[in-house]
Amino acid sequence: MAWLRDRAWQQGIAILLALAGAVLIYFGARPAGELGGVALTGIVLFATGIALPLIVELLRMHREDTARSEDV
Amino acid sequence: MTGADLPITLLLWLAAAAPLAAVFVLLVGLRWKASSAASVGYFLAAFIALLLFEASLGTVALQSVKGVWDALFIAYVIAPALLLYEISDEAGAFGAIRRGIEAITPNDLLHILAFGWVFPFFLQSITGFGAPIAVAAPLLLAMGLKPLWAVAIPIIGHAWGKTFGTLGVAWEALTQVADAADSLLAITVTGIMLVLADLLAGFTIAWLYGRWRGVREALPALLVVGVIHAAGQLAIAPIAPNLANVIPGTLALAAIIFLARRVYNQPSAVADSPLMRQGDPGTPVTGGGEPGPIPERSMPLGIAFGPYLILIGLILAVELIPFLNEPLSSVRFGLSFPSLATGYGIVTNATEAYSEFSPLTHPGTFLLVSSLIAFWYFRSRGYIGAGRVDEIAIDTVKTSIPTVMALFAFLPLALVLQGAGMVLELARGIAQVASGPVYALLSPVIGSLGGFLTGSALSSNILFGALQQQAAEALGLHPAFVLAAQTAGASIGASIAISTVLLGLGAVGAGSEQTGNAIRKMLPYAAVTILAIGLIAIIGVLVFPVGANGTGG
Repeated sequence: MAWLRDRAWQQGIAILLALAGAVLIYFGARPAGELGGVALTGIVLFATGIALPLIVELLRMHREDTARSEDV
Repeated sequence: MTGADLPITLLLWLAAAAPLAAVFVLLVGLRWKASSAASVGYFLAAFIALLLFEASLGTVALQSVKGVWDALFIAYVIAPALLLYEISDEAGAFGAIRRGIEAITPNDLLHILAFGWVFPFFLQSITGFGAPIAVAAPLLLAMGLKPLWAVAIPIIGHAWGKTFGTLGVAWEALTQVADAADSLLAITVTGIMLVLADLLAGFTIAWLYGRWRGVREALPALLVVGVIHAAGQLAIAPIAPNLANVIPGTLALAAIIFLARRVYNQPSAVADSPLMRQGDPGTPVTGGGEPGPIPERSMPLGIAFGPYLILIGLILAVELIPFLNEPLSSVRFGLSFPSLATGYGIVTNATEAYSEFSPLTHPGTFLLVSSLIAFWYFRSRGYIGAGRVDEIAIDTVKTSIPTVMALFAFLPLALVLQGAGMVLELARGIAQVASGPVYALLSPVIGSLGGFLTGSALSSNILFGALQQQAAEALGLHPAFVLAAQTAGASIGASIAISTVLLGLGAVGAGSEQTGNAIRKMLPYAAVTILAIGLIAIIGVLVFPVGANGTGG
């Protein structure tokens, strides 16, 4: 699973999650704009997909900060 | 989108501005990666929309889906553009293009003016959707420009072409949503504003290349091309807006070829231009900073340029030949969406086919077809080795992914801002507090905001055209000047939109983490041009006061 450490593939997974979420939102909420279980699942998936690169980036920054403070 | 109940308050205005300000600070100020900055912006926009703008979760969610839909079709330009870049790079075509063009004229300054100003404007006159940048940026990289400048220069060079470009659709949209009171005056003023943006673009490119020495050397080209662009657009726009860019764009291409042979047949006197890569300029540098392969076989210019010639031929044929365009563009589809409303009465109308996708006339398809033909030809002639196919495919996918991820966050952010009424809040807030002349100065800022958010002058005109007309009438300003400033500002804003920059970075194989740096290079031009457009609008509204009948007096 070394490929999972590659930032590009991590973002590829994030894109697939966001895309799957968007599809579920569309088919769940399109008829009247109201949200059922399918659309809510879609929102969770979409939000996870959009948040993933940010979370990974924040974790990386945190690791770098920690390593820097340990060096000092 | 009516929004009669939308309160205009400082708190709501600041809240509406917060997501964009956050993206801008993170991207340009703190140099965050585009996907991370857009992610922060998206969640902030969604949170504020739900909390302060009375948008329902359904509205936010479905507007986000619209954003994803839009992002998919920009991604459909980025990935094939990058594929074409990778194939050409692998075959050694960029080095061959550089050597071939140098045999015609060794003058780097003229190369940059030709491929960064004249050529992308010509392409914008016919097509759009980022195709001018997708084509021009890799060619400028091949000519020895640094990757970020290879993206920034054609964006600056083609910005002024967005109103009458793509056969004048943005102007047509403006005339449908707003009444300028005097359409001849409006189109003439628009032409003057855009011509100023054009001249500033040519000047900026020459100045960036070699400061005042570059400007002096570029002067013959700036004058000849500037006169052709200006006279062509000002003369043709009032008669046939859809041809206002095509004809001067074609004539300017012919003029630049003449200038290359007769005037610029010596190397540029400017040594060590900050735009150019040092060392061997014939070897493209990818976004990762690694040198591309050194071509072992010499390739004639016609073959090296072939993929781009095929691309240009496809664009011209499909866009300009009606018996090809009509059947091909009839194949189109879009998603249906219900009507969405916020608690403040911001209504996004139901649509049967949102943002229709026409696969057979989309630039992504032209790029894909050109890439496949190029691959087949280069592979069959041995320019690309058998073992390199997987590498080209993986490089294309891996470089595309971060760019597409940023689009997946940024376009839903823009659509949430629109659907929740936050964009309207920003524009109405400016209209409410600005006095007459100040509003005229700020009117291109509103247009550019719409363009920056949507990546499209057409969308900005649809979004803000009616609002600008109403604000002008309420403040006693001649709407012709305000609407001209709207569309001219929209053209500049759309050019430096994050989606356009991401597309350019993708086309030269550079990472999306460079988005902020690329925007920073274009900001001075955009700011000066928008200010100049605003000043013309001020002069116009002062010289042409509104008469008692509501039209120009």
